[in-house]
Amino acid sequence: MQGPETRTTLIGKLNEPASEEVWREFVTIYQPLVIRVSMAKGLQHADAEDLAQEVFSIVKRSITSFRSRGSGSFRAWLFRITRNLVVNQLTRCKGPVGSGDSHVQQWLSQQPERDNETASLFDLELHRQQLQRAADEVRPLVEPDTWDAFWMTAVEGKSISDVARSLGKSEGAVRMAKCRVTARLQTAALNLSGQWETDE
Amino acid sequence: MIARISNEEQHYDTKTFDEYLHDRWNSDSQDVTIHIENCPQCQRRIENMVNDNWA
Repeated sequence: MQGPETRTTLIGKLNEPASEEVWREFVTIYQPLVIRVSMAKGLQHADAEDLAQEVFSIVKRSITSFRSRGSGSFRAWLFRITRNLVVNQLTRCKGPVGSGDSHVQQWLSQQPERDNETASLFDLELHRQQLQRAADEVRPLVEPDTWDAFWMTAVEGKSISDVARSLGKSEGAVRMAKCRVTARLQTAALNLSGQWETDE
Repeated sequence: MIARISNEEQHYDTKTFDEYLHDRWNSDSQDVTIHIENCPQCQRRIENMVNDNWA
């Protein structure tokens, strides 16, 4: 598990000249997240892609000032940037504020629970993305049969007995294969989360 | 050294389960794997460990 020093150092590396690898990792994790959240709030895919580039540009310019504040959640900061840009984008697309019962108006007049709902969506998408990245890391490390047992039971929802028959394994072996892959995914996702988060 | 729970013959402790889940073995794991994959009680405990980590 990563300690706080490692976590903040990794975030800080985004702004260093030789940080291309760290930056690629950051974009790999957060670009799909920002695009999905933006589209969920009403943007078209192309606009969401442009918005994601804008988010990353702001992060690159502002990471130093974010770090100098010394506290606060990186995730929450990124969410605020995304949210504000989505509002701006929707405002540009749909006309002036308060001109009708548009999506824009809903956004701009949103009650706290609406904002919380969007923050939850952001968190949900972040967790989904981290889990996907964790799966990419873990899959090559386990036997194909073990991965298949996990995938068929945990993702496809097939019964333990059906998968055991299908793979020619005992039910116990299938149950434990599912557990072993899940445990590794949990650890990998936790590490990923730690690398890209500061203390709250 | 892989530890069995002393008062429950044939079953293993949480540390061993963790090693089993993450392939972090210090010694021969074959006996442990065979036992766990044939022991519903150990399987339930391992499933509970994994499920608790989602909480």
